[in-house]
Amino acid sequence: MIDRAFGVFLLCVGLYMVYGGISLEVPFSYDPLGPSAFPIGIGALLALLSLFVIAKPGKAHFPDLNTNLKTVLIVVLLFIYQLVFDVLGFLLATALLVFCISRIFKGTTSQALGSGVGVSVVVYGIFSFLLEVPLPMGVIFSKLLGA
Amino acid sequence: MEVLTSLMSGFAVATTPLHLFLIVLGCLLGTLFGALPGLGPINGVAILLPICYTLGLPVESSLIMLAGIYYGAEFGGRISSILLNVPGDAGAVFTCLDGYPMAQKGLAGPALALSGVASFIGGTIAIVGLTFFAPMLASVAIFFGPSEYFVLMIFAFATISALMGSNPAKSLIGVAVGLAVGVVGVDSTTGVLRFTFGEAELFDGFEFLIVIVGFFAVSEIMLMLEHHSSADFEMPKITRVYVTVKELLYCKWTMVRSSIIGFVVGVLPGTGASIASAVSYTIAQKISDKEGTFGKGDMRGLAAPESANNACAGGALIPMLTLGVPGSGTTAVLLGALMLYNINPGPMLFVEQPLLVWGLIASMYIGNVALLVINFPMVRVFTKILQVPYWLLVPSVIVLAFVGVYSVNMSTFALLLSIILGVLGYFLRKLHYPMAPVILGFVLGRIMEDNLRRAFAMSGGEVNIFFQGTINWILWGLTIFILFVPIISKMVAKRYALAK
Repeated sequence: MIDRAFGVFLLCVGLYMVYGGISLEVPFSYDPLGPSAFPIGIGALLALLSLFVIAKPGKAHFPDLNTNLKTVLIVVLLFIYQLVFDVLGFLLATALLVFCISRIFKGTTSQALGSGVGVSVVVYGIFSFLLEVPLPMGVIFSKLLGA
Repeated sequence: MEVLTSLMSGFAVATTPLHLFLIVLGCLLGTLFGALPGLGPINGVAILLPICYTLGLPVESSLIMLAGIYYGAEFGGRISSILLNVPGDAGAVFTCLDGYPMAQKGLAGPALALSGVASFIGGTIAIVGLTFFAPMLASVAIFFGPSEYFVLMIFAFATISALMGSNPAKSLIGVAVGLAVGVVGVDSTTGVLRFTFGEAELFDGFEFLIVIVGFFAVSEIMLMLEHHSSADFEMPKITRVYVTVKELLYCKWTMVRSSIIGFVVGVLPGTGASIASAVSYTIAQKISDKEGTFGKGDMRGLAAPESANNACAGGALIPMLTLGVPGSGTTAVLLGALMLYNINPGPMLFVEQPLLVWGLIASMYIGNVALLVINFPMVRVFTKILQVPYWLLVPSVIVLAFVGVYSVNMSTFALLLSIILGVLGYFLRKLHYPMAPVILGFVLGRIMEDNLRRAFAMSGGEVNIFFQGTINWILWGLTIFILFVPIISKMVAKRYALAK
């Protein structure tokens, strides 16, 4: 069922590529083919192949509801992480993310706390001081430091 | 001997102190990633590539280290297969078949040692092959024009669909998805924006690091929820970590044969370690399994896939270095890494960057010896490391991957894109779409389109340019042949079954 639904999704992507390729406005092209032919070809290929999957979907083995919910939770956490990354700063955001994921993977609260603090500090140290990559400090830390 | 002179110059590059250090570091990190359950060579290279890139190393140094991670991971993949029956990736599945039963019989140490030697032999045979065949192929490859290139990629994708996975349609869809992701961005010849949705950060297309982190780190941790942490397994006791000469001689022909099979499979574009180990194990079983001991802890059954998947890693570098068409998913990532440094892979690589190519080849000789030496005393350390619980491993993997992506792009939009691609990758992998074709399609997309358009520009829009010249005809012939391989093998299998 999910295999078929995903096939339909791929079909839509393929058709959208064909449509997008056709509606590209090309002012001038130096080569006979131009920039639209390749996406149209790929889109058509994708749409055509997805018909095979829709016609004859395979069995998909998704885990139980509990695990699926955890998977969704991880994705949501990652989304939130990239949203708050600049505001909270690397250290705080990462510590929180690691804590949550650690809990999802059956770490106890203290284990999760430990890995949260440990991972964020170690990675921050490596990147800021060894590799000299500036990671965001975040609003809170910057204010604390008076910067 | 021109080859030997070139190889010597390569050794001059590879034996500088920095490079020796990077070889050992790459091998260690690779073994580590290979040994961690659920993570294989491609994840290791994907997670460490952004970090390598931010280190600001010159391209040959990066490549030497990344290649070390690649074959190191093929080396390390056997550890969790043997001890825990948990393969790190698809290439290590066949190692479990006889490796785990050996460990259960109390032969965990000898199994690790034997597979280490088998890996070394496989790796070394492949590098010798690489040394001599790559220049030969490169000298043919300089006659490739745009049309030959385009047909070569058709051949590569035909190989993938015929040999990879159980469903050819899904393998080809994988290619198409990869090509589609690669289309996004500004068109280099006309400046037209394609599928960028007005996002300025997409004008240059999906950045390579974002794609591999999305596909091989984000989706990996989503899948890891279903695995069991190796902390939940009981670790078998490790006794003597060496093999006797008698045991080695018992397996010698299996190892040599499997190495050659692995090498050849590796050279074929798009087919990686999973096929190499499957084919070599099946053949070893057909030839040697007289008493029905395979699958119950037969040493030859362990030596076969291990020599094959390491030989495959060396063989897969040949098409990547000489033609710019990677021989496996991981070499596709390595190829993308070269492109990050603005190096155009292809037949001119051997001419334009001889020190890069030969330095890499020489480093692999050193790396294989290093792996063998490192592995015997450190096997116990690696077995400790692979017991790292998931509650520490999984968050560390994702943070490392994200920081790498962030530090190269300096934007959280890059993180968002890799999360989206990660979700896409999760569904693709759950629904049995093989990932190697996707990454191959993505890496090769631009090159393929450029060559297609250049060929048409040369011919003035005539299709017949793709059917001119000997090379094109050979490539079309090979393409048709490879498409018939599954049908032929089915017929042979039927005959075989009837004869029984």
